Amino acid sequence: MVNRGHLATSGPGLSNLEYVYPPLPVLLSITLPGDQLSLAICACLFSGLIASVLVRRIGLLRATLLGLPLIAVPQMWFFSSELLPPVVALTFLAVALFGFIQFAGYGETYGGFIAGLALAACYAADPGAFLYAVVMCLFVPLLGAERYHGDPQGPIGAAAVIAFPVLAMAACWSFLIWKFSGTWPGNLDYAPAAHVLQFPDGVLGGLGHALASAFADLARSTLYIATVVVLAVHRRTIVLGVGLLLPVLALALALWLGYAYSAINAFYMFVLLAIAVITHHRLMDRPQYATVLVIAAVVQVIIGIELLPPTTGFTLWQHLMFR
Amino acid sequence: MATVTVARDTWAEQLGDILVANGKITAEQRDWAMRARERAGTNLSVILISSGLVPRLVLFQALAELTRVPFIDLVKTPPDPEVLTALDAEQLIREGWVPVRELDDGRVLVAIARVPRPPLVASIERTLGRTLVLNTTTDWDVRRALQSGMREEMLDQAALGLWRRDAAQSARVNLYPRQRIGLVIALVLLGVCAWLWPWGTLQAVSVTIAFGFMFGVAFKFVVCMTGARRERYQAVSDEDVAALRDEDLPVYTVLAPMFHEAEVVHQLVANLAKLDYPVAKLEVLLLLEEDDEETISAAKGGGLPPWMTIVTVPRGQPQTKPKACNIGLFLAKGDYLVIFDAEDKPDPDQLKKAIVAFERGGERMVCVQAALNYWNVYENFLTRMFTAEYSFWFDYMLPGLDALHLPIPLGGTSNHFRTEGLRLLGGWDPFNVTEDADLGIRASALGYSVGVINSTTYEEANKNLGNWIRQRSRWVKGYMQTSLVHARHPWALIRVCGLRQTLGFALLIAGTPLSFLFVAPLWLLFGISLLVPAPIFAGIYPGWVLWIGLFNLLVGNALMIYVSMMGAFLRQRYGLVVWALLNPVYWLLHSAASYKALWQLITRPHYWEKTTHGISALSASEAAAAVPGSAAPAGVPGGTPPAAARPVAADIPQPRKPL
Repeated sequence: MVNRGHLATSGPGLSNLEYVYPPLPVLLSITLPGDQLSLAICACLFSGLIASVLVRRIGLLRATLLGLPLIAVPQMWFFSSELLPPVVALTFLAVALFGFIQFAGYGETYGGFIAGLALAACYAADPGAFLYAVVMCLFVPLLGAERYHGDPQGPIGAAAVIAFPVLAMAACWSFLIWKFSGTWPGNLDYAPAAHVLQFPDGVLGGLGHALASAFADLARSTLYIATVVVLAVHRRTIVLGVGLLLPVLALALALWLGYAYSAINAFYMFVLLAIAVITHHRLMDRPQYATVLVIAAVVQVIIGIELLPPTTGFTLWQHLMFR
Repeated sequence: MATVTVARDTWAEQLGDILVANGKITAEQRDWAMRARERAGTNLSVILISSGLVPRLVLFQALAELTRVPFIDLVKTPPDPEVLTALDAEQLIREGWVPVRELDDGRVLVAIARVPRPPLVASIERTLGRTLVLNTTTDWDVRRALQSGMREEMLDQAALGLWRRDAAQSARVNLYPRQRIGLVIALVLLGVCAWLWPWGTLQAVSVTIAFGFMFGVAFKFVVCMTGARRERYQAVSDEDVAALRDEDLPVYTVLAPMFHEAEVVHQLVANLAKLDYPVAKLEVLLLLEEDDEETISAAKGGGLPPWMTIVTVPRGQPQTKPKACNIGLFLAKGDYLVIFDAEDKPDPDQLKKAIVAFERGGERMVCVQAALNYWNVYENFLTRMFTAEYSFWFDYMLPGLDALHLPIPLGGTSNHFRTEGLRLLGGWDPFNVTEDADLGIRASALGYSVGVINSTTYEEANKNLGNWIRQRSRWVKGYMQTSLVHARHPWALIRVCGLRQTLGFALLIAGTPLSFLFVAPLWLLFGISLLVPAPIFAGIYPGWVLWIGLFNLLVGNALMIYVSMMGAFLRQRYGLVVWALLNPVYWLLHSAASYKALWQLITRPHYWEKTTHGISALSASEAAAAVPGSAAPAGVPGGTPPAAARPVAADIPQPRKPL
């Protein structure tokens, strides 16, 4: 990010705009003094923001219990303090998720506002955010015809409300890059968008690999799995269960297209998703469900410590921090 | 409501007995009317007339017989205008009397449409300073006599009342001398700067416009989000409405100004007939221009219900809707008053919701605004965009302005007023072509408050482009007028309203026409920029200026499109959500209308561009079906409201046929 910021400001006017990508983290690196340290502080602040969102929504105790995989896994400490772009993106994803729950679950249009705008901000940190929008858009028809008063255009309208901001953000940024840098879609030589649409393992081969990775990520997310099972038992419906598989498919799609999400990114995302669903359906209000979910969270902590593939830079960071 | 005394009951019973004895009504009908009178908490005469049981003339003749005060027909014996000089028409309307002429012995013949109780007679004597000779007449005759005898005073008051009261509040003169001087100086300075420092001036002007847009967009977005957070808030619930008792309800006046709208008269009558309000306490005045014979004929020919009255608006300049409404205000008897346009379909419980809102808002709340929306949503591009725009404005912006205690520019219809408060404000400005927006701002400027209620009036959206341009140009011109009027004494405005409200007024009322004027040139500039290499712009403007401009172009437009989408979604007009993407085209039409408005502001500032109504291609049944909740409850014919509010024929006992 720091190097990218230097590159972006080295040319005349806005001619190096193509290097301001993803926009938000690079802009932070340009504007904040102190290089890597300030970006790390920024990452911590955004992580704290996620924590405050969770605590405000579900209370300190429940946030702590359900958030154990984010608190007790050392790789999460590295992630939350060193990897600014995904942390920023996940912060806005958390906001978008809770907004979406208000929108989809309670029919509050204001929640749709929040979800859409948060997804746009998420895109500013992670170009793969449009896939989160795709997942939410795919979910809206599952809400049922009565939500839209029998109007067949209801799901289309709902999907437009969710997707427009992120599409607008993508279109606007692409326009700026084209206008000022003369390239499109700009210099994407930055993970996770480094190999978008390049299919290094071939189209079908890549799909298989992506599905395997996505389901492996799911397997490490015991809290999310437990949430899906508990919800299916609680609501006695399979529809929501199908809906909750959509994020897994979205993740597979992202990987297949070339967005190089790390395992830790998926780990974090599934915890957030689980907490959002648990909150909406008040699953923690029932002691038996709460017990199952907390156990699943503890198991996920163990998985995170023992089985989570290390992210690039984690080993060195761990050595420096805890030698 | 005052408790009915024994004496009042006696008068009512005796009146009923006389009508039965004269064979005008049956005993059953009399008993029904007495019960209805108890329920409504009003006079028996009002019940009998509004239900159609007894013609007005017959009833007042019976009253004359009861009180032994001779009846006078003021059509045959019109009042002498001389005796009306210096009298307060509002008092006469309120008290129900009119002086007819001075008698040879110095006494004054007074026609009265009430039982001549001592307090009323004493009040008349105090007003005239003379001894009286009383005759009975109808309330219609009183009003008609006043309209005729005080025609010139009414016209003068309606046209120039506000201007005489406080010229600074009137748009009769759009630009005061110091405003004119200031404008000339500003233009000269701009010209000099452009001559001496062309690029610097261009940059300065661009920066000013850019910041103006940015603040405007940010302001609207913040207000919109504030309004969106209140979407679950119901200002008045159904339970609040159900708790109202008819006998506690005040008299409500409905003003329905119409001009060259003969084709929608019957539609308006049908729509107002659905109002859930005791007819005995409803006064509907159709305000028809004197030379609009077609509409007058249509109204008379259609057989109006007894609770609707035609008020002929005297010919005179300016011939505008607000002037007609001022005439109506002159004659209004209600404690509350509302304006409905010709094509309006208000929610039936809107009047009751307004009453609840007023009770909660306190005496300083002088007006509440209902939401407006359209029933011909999907006719064409214009109706779709119009509906999305109104949904955003009335469902997000107005609740947001209300929550933030910012001035609320009223919509052109469904404004509910405390009648006395409206009179204190000076009524409508007949020289302002958006008299509604002006009144909302004037209320704030004078320290009153305006609220919003969760009720909707459905109107016909303009589907014709020429008609739309005319209508929109009038609205933009009106906003320009309102800005000029209320900017005359900016420090006084700040002192009364506060800086926050003043800035809100500036951004909303002045900012709207300015932004429309700049939309077309800015889009043109954008088009040019696509053909011009970026470094050229980078050479003209500093980087931060470019960023602001780009922010406005991209983020500003995207946000305004988005709030339009959300407005349509909240209104459950799901088919409009994607159409909101075409708002930039719609805004270009606004820009065209705004230039017409600017031209007219200079050349014909008070000209009222009349909007043609009744051009929708939807049939009556399609239009009715398009209004949510408009289906008639089972068992009630013709979609009329519950029997408790309006006497259905089946409720009124009919005379038995003789054997």
